[in-house]
Amino acid sequence: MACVRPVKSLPGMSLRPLCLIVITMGETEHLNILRIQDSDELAVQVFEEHIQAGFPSPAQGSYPDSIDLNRELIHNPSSTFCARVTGDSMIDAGIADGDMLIIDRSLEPNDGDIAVCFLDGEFTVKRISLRAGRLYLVPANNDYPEIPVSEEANFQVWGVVSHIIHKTTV
Amino acid sequence: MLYGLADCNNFFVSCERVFNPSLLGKPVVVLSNNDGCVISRSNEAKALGIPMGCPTFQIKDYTDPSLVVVLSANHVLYRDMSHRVMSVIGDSFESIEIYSVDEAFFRLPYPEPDPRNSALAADVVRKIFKFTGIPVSIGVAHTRTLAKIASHMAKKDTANKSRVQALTDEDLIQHVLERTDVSDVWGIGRRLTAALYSRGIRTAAQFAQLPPSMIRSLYSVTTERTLRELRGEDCQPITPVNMARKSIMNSRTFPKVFYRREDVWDAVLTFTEMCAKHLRDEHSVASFLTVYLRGDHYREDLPFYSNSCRVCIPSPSSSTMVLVHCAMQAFNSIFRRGFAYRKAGVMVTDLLPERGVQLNLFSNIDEEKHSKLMKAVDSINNRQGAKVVKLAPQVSAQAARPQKNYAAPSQKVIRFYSAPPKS
Repeated sequence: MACVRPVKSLPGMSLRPLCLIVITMGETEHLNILRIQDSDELAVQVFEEHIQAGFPSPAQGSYPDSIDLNRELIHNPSSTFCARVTGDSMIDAGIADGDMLIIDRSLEPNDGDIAVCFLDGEFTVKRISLRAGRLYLVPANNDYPEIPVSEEANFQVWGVVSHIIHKTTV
Repeated sequence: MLYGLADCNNFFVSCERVFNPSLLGKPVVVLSNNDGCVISRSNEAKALGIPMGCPTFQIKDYTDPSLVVVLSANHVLYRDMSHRVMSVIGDSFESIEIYSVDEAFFRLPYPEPDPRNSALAADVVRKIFKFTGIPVSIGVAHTRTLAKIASHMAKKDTANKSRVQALTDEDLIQHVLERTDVSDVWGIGRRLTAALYSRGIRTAAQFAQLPPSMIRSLYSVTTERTLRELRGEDCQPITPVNMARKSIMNSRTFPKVFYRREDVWDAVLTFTEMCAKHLRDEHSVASFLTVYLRGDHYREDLPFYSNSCRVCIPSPSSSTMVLVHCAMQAFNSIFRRGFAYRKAGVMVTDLLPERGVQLNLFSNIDEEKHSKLMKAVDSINNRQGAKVVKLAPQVSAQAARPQKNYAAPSQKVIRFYSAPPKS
């Protein structure tokens, strides 16, 4: 549990459409890939103490550290892309409609990773699963079937999802 | 010393394919601004015979146009991808020189031919492809001119999976130069090619055997340098990052011809502002500014006029106000009433890094004040995502806007006023 308070009112990560590729994923889902503007730094103070309620007393512990959310979320700027998700096929993995994905193409895809994949002409975000030498794209929603990836399929793992920016309030 | 040249394969098409992998394996072309002509082709499009610079309406002369995926340029995307590619190269090698949006020279760590160089270069090719999805070829040689030839070999040789070609072996160089047309040598343009052909010089190997002093007296020092570079003499020591980019140009063909001074000036003004912003983004300043205007070649019913003017910026600058003042000077000296204008452009050249610029003793421009103002303007414009703050004389430039419209919904424009700088 951390209490987060902005110390500078600079625009942090403003996301602007780079190329509005609205690629439909099934009937209801699509993915917009966005450009990350990381020129500004936004320092956010982090209180490391575990707190129950209220603000920590300034007298308590050391002076808090600050973090920059860009640096926190983007480890490799040249390989990091953002995408906004439409659809609910990954809802049980914490990816809801309208959430922002941070995709780091430099990460090696591993069994169990959530990744943006390109399968037979469409972008999709799913968990990749390797079972008995076969590859499956597994949704995190019981209403959706898992998709086996055949040898002949036009398939690529576009990038591994490293973070999800999820809005908790409506 | 060994140079590498990293060259992105079919760069604009490759960028489009990253975000639309279904374009892989298809003939794809990317068009210039206003969709005038082809500026980037996939290998499949090249195989169909579509030439570089092919006017859009002539694609049908080469192939069934329904087979070709034709795309408008998205330069914001290409610049972003270029930046990513360049930063991967910059992370891996010293002394990178960004030569164009899709090419960069760099210095290899081992000065003599060494398998570790090729291994490193191959690693960077893999890394760029993994990180960005852009395919790159790398040529390695003792001079840039040879590195350029090597990168072409790497690009053409589809069997070469590492996409790295070293051109350091004497016998190999000779073999390759004998098979390279002199017109394909970096720095040898169309006119020079014609002149060399007329002397019976057709291959790079023949050219390299000419006496340098003769070439120098017949043509230029630059041509002599090219010749020496083909022989393996390094004539252009690598320049540090950001210094390398020698010019920035903004130009556009208008959707229709313009007659009025205000309309053409509007476009020139917008291009100048774009150049200035670009300079500031790169922390560079420019020493010269060129404005050019051109009529319409294809309209035989109109009198044709074309001209350009280069202005020396007394104290190298990236300030919009200074640059606009120079652009106005150039524009006024070449604009002629009574002609139809189809194209205009602004180019800033002889770029220097922002810091370390020698101040002009006689300049009365307050550089510091300008720089602060420009920083404020840029930060407002960056935040708002559009050009909200503009120089007052810059009214909405219809002519300078690309035909296709990716623009965000209209925003309120704030104008700031300033007298032109005293000079």
